[in-house]
Amino acid sequence: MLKAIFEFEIRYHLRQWLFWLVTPVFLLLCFGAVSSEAVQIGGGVGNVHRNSPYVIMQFLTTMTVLGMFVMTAFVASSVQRDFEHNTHALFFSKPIRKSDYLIGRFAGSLVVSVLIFVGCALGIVLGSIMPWVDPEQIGAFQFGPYIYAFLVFVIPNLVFMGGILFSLASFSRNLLTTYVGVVLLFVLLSISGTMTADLENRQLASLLDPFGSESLSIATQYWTVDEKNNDLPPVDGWLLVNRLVWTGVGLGIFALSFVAFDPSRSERRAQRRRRKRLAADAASGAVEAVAPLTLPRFQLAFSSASHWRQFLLQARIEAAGVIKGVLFLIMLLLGVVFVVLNWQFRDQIYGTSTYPVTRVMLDIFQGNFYLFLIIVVIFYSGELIWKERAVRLNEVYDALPVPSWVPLASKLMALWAVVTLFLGAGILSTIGIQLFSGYTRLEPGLYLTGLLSSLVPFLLISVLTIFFQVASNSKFLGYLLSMLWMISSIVLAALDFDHNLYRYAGRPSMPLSDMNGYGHFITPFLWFTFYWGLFALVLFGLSMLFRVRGTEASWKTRWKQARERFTGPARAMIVLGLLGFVAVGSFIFYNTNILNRYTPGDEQEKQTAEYEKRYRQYKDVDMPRITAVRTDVDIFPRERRVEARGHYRMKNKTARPIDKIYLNVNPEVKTKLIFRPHSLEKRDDQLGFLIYRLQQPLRPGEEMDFDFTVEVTHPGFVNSGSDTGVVYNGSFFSNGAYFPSLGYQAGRQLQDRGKRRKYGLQPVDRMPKVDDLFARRNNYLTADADWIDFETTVSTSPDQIAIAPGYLQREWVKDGRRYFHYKMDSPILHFYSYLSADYQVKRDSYKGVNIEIYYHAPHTYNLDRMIDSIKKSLDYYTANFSPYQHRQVRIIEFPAYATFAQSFPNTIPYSEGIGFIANLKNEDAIDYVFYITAHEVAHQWWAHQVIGGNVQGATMLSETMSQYSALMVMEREYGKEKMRRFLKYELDNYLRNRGSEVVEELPLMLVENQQYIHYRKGSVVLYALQDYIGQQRLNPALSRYIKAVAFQNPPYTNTVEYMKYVEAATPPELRYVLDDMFRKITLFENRVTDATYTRRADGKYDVNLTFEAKKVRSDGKGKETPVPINDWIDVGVFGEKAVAGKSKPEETVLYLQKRHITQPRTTVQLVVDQLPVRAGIDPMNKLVDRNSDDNRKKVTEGAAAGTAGK
Amino acid sequence: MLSIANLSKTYSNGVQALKDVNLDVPKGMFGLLGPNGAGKSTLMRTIATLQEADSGTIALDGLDVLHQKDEVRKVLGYLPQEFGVYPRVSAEVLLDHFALLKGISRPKERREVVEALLRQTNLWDVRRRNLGTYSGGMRQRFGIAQALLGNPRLVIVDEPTAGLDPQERNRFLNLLSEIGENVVVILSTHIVEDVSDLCSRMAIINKGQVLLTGAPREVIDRVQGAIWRKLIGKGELAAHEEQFQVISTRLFAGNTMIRVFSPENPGTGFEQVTADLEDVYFHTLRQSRAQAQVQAA
Repeated sequence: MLKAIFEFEIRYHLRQWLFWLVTPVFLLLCFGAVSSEAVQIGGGVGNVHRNSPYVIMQFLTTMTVLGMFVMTAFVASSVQRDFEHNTHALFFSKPIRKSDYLIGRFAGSLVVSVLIFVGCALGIVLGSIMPWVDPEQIGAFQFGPYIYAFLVFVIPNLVFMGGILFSLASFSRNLLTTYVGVVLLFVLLSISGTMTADLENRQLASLLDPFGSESLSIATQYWTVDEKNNDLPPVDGWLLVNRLVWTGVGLGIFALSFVAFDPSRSERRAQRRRRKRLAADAASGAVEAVAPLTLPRFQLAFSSASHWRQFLLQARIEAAGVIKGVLFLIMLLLGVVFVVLNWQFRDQIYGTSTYPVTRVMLDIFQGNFYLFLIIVVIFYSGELIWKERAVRLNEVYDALPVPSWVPLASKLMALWAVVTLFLGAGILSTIGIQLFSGYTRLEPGLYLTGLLSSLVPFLLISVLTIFFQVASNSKFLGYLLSMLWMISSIVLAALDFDHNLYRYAGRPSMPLSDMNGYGHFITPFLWFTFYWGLFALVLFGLSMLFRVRGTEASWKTRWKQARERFTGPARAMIVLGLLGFVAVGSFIFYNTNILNRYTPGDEQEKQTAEYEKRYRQYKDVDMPRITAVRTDVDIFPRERRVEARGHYRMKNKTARPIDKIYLNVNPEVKTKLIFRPHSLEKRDDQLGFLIYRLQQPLRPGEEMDFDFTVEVTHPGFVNSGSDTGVVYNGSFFSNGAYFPSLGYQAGRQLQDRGKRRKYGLQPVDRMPKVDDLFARRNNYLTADADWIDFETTVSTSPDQIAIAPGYLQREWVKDGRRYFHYKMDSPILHFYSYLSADYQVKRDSYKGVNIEIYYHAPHTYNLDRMIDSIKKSLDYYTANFSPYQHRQVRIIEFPAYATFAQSFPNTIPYSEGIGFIANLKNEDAIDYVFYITAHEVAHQWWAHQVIGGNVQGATMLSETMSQYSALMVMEREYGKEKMRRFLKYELDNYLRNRGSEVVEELPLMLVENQQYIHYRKGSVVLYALQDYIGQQRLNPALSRYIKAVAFQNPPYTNTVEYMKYVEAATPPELRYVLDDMFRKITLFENRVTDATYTRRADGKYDVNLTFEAKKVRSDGKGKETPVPINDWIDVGVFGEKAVAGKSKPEETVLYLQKRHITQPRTTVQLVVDQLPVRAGIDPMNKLVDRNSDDNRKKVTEGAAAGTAGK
Repeated sequence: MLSIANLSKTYSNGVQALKDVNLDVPKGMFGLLGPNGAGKSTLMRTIATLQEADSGTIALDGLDVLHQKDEVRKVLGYLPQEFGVYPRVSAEVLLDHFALLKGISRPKERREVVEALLRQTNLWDVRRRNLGTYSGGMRQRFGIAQALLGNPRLVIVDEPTAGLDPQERNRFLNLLSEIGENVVVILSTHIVEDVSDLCSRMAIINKGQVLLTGAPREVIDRVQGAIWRKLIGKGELAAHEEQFQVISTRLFAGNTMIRVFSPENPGTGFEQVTADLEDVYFHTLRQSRAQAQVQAA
């Protein structure tokens, strides 16, 4: 019997059109994701194969989440359809065992769901053999990963979801409730997704993820390219627990459905209902004589005023119908939960959060809240449009003397009310969060604009989803169309079809800045909103024409009726809407494509490739070098305009005459050039490349003047990526953005190998080899200058302060503009920036160095930390490295359009998005304000004194060394334990990013501007190095190195030279660590296996410690080879000490020493004075260890005998 | 006065629901009698502006029903065959809502009208109860209350008594009978008693065609004296059907009571009976079937 039911169930679903609709969609999604760039489901980057085991697992797991929405239809239907079609009585009156019925149905619908995913897998296989796919991105076909993914992820996930859905459906016998369950599951997933953002509770959070995708990502987080291409994670530990738990939960919940199918339950229910009715009947009395019908007097009104009243009432009723529903309340609560969770687990820097400033709070409405709200809109548009038909009241409604616009408009209003309530509730909860965190600087105005700007797209989307429901005249089809629209808009963007003129409800993003508000982004937002608003009007008009009124839904009838209805307001809406749409569209097009240049994303890539193809031939030509710069820069913030007149002094430093000048200019900027007599040889306006032939070649040693004017204007508005160099308040641009530069810019080349192949580019080195002497003629920052004299006058509007590198010589006001004259007194790199905003200034000084912080008035939280950090940095660096070459340090805040800090000579632009609003009140928080400031100050040494040649390893000399410097200042301030926490973030970041390397991972000293290496690994390595050889040895070596190479002229230094100094300072027995850390990629897998203690008679403790040590070398693709262990590694034992005023006891070091480890497995016996709590190998995580969590272990009391006697 | 002329309708699936229907419906209660699937609902919905016709006209006191839908809706009261309610809304609220949509815009008037109708339909005491708790009969009464809002000149009730118990059916018919005489009321039904009890005029419709129109009394007179009955054994039915125009059969104490149409005495065992509307109905259906067979042959 079970078999019969099971087979019937499968056959039933295979006959439904839904299955044959969904399976191809899933197949196509996977096919597209593998065979094109258009569909993205996580997956392959750079060197990871598009069909690697890693990608297969990720795709299929991610698809199960999506599958949830589809699966509902199958699993829920397997129980519900008998109640829906009233066939349940037929079934239950047969002699079927309940378990046969339930298990058969459940298993059948599960198998059908699995079949959909077989389609998905088929899509991956097909996609990977398509002829157009780059064969280097495809690995050999392997069957194993598919089996693995199905057994470990797909099937358990389907069992879990199926169990819940099945049970829900059996209890509720109502599709709506089942869908609520789907939404709940969706939320559960999002919660665990956001919770794992934080490093410290990832493992726990991964257990909360019923789909196992978090467990998967933790199991594979440190995987290298090689591992991603070949390996499958072992099913053990958290992954195994996760899979077992959730499969069990799924089956358990499924078992609950047996209760729901207590056969008498449905009978009881029906009886209850019947009794209720009967009671009602009794109440209404027996048959009675009916009085003649005479109604009181009344008037019928069919005026537009009465229609308006009907609309208002109807809208109120529609909205109330939705809002009073339990479902809405649940969804609304979920929305609020989203907000709170998004705040709780938002992006943090080193685990430290920011103050809840309104800008940050408004950001919360992005991402999954947005997605959730779209789903809400799609869902309710279907509910509302089908409301009357769902209860079969449509014929009554349709025959009422109400104009056609009333029901539609009132449903739209109800939907709008839903969206508004959602966002309103969201905003109230963010305000609640602010107040709860003790943040009282509420900005209602900002919230209002934030609300409106988030609201607009949803209002537009509501019109679209209603149109889909009306036009398709099928709830399911309407949902499908809405979903398709959602997916297509993502796909279009991925394909670089990104003009907002054809993306419904599309508009340029409108980033908010505390300093600049919405700035100039408001104008295009309003125009695009107007544009799509007009289109929505047309859609609404069309909805009126095609809405089915009455009982006939054939297209023939609907066309006929649409033609008849094309009068009056509908006609006006459609015609005027279309006219306006075209007119506004033309105006927008004029702005985005004629006044400005519109370049879609792929076009930009193509131009980059084109630049390389055309001009790489000039990469080694002789060029004069800039030796002095003098500029007059006028910034007009309100007009977003810059006029600059510049003067370069240039010199031929080569041994040959130079007869050609190769120039880059920003093609968006009007540039005029004036220099000695020349002729134009080539001019490429599109890419901004110019070649001039000098009439008189520049002789070796000869100098020439080069004058230019640039005019930066921003007429009208652009489609996307609006320039934020000049804005109303908070302009920030560097010379590279607008000023002409000399020579071929190798930095513009495409790096990703796949993309290079796509555009027919040969593979090239990302950077010249470390010992390439010719390349070292340039430093890595500027190819057209060495050290320059710098002087500039900047003007701005009178309410703003303008800043550039140099010392302020004079400040004056003329013709309503404010002028600042800055001059440098020592040579600097050809690398400077201009800033202008309405600043407050905080001043201080340290040993003759002026400290100034230019900040946005409300951002006063961390100014003292910054100043403190500057002082302590100056102190450490001058004492240990070399004197500071300037007499001032300035930090200047700029808007959060970018979130970084950058060090220019004596000038440090610092984003409002980092540091200024960091919340450091919690004393456990990692003070990244202090750290970033110290890092940027360190750049005044490491970059602005020592600058590497343009070869491998250059950024180690600037970035890694700045990290080291900052770490030393930080350690002084905060102590070793905080450093351990900080370095764990660094280590994690390094290990995680190795797997997304697009070219090749390189050892630290050969780093090719790879951030995960020069920052993250650099921190870990340098910290370990100073631990091995001691600051007292390392710093003098660094100081000697600085002395030798600071402010040098070409050839510039490299890491090989650097290593000589460091090596000289390293004792011979430790020199092997330099190989491990700088010259090779080395990883450890150290772990404690056993830690016990026994108390000795003298009150001390014997600690028995057993640990494993493993060391591997990795190549650039992540392929590992083990090397024998022969290393000095920390072994430590720790105790605890209660500290007054703190809840957690503080850790004390009882023993910490480097031991020479030569065996893969070692047992040591140590004696400590106090009770040991934890012990471990490399317990401070100084080495690059793939699992840094198992280095320590709790020490337990061991067997007293044996050790005590020894 | 409602006149329907040459009305035809074929659905996109090929079913011809109305074939050249011509019908004059005067003021007062008009019964539209026909078996399931006869085209009654199509006709009702077409008159109620919910459906289009392929050809033909419908005129209501000078209004072109097929094209002046908005005008028709102002004077229309419609109780559809399939009709649900919002389960969690009370009768009072929903009726008030419909009243506004019908055009009774003044709140006070609306309140009075709603009260009057709820009292009339004997739902006043349960007006605050959610409609989901109403029995089928109460729901039908609510339906008629809704249809009577705004003093319609044309009231269409489509199969209102199907599924009601006899008591509720009586109650409902009582209600209908009190609708004013100046109103065109079309009652579509497959229950003969509904028509004979209530209607001053009627039509029989089957397979999209009007087979007969007239006053019930008059059409019964047409067959008076030609209806006979006989009690036969079960096995004899086939033979009788061969021989006579059997219009209806009914089981009676284990045997079969047949009624036949025959202008003359059909022979022994037959007993003449007084004709009723059911005889007319079945006779008409039988005739049309026979005709169709003749045409097909």
